[in-house]
Amino acid sequence: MSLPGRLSNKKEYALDRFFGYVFVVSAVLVSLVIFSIIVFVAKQGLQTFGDIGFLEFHLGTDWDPPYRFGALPFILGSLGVTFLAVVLGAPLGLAGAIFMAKIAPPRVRELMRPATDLFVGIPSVVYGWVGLTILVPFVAERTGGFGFGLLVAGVLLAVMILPTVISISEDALRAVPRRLEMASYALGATRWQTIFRVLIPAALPGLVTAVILGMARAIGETMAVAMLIGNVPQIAKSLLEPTSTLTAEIILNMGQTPFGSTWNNALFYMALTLLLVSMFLIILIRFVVQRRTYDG
Amino acid sequence: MRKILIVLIGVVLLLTTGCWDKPVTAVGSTAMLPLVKMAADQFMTAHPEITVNVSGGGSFTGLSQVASGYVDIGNSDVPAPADDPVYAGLVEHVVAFAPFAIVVHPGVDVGDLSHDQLVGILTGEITNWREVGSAFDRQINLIHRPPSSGSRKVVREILLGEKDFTLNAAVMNSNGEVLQTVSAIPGAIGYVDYAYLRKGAVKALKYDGYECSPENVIAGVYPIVARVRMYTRGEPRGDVKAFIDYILSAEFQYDFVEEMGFVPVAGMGTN
Repeated sequence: MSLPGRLSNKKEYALDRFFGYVFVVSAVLVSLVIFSIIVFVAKQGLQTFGDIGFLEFHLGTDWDPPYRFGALPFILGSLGVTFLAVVLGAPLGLAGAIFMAKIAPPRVRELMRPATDLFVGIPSVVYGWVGLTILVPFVAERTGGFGFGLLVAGVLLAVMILPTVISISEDALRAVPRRLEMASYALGATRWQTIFRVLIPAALPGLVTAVILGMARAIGETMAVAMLIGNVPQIAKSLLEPTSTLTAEIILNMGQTPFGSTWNNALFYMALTLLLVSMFLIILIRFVVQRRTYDG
Repeated sequence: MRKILIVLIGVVLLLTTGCWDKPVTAVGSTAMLPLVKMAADQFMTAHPEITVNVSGGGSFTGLSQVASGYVDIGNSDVPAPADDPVYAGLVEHVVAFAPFAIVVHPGVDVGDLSHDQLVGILTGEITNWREVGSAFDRQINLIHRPPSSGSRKVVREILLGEKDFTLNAAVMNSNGEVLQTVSAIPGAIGYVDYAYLRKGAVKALKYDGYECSPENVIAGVYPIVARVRMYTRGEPRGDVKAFIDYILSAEFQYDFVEEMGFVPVAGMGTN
């Protein structure tokens, strides 16, 4: 770790070594924290299966603790809102990113970029509150039902993942070498053809990463979803029926269930599931990004 | 430099010695929170030498924390499970009664529900307001609390007995959210602590002809009411005992308990 020249005196070497240790300790500490969280959640969560069958938990539809623990409604609810959010949010976000990266005049882009970043910083409880006050009554009034359900939660989540999708895919699009675009124009391609046949394929790994990160945000979102989904352990037969998700069930019951009880353990197992899903998504991104090449 | 530091430490020590006596800690039910906070404020004004720390977290949090000795007082609106040895050493102090109000969206044109009608609605046998005398053909949207909620447990025990709530409902995390939602969704019905009632733009229903009020609770005609409890590990002593005694004192019971939307213990006699 020695540096040549100016740093050769003893004192600066000592400083150098000291900060070397600081960084190593920080890195170890961070890893330790993450690792112990995973171990703790897993240890609590896996105790669930001392009392309940693995299949009963994952495939059972009857959630009536402390008697029956069928968590399928939550699993399906989480998948449902995430799917809906990505289906609605991803195309919109990608289109926005293409506009910002390649079509918008510089001045518009300079305005939109900070706006998008600002968007990321809005706390989810604010989204949830707005959704609960405006979206839910709007839908309830028109359908006569609750208003709560996959539809409102999915729509709101789509809005919430927009900034993530936009900013990452915009970066990916702008990272595509200018010469590819130029070559395309030089061959007589229109802007439309250039975007769809050159830019998007070249930026694909980045765009996929953007969508996966959006997905990770959607499946892990808690507060806003808990306010809009209705929080009822039933499998939704329509987009307008109250249902629930893993995250919503955890936040609703974690403070009220005694630590160490089966109910509490089951919530920890749900947390573990979410942790594993997001870990899987991050690993997936690793694979996608590694394939990024421009072939010369 | 060192001198300044020593002086500073000295000042800090002097300032904090007053707080060195172990503070009284009370944790638990969010429904009881406003009441206990008010009691703590009043108590600390009268006894500046004692500190009382109050926080929420839910009835079960209160129970488990007091059972394991982390806090002095566990606030709960549900009784500690009698069959669980964890809670064996806890002593119960009923400090007030908390009525639950049945609330509906202001647009609902029904003002009174009989016991059977209410049970029908909560269990999902009655799903349209027309079935309980409304002029409008509107779906009944039940908004209530999660299964781990003390309020839900109390309402279920008093009104439903062995039956259970319908699944076709929306569940909100707190009294405030239930109020907000019931006021926003047409055809909605829910239950909230009486203490929260005045804060929302909702309509309170009569139950079997009686409205939710402390008078009707005391008269024994409005039965949807929970005992609000403080649990201690063993008999309370010292500052903890002084605090609980203050809450049970006539002064606090009559000046504040009722004003906060609860019913004084004394008013209920021994039932």
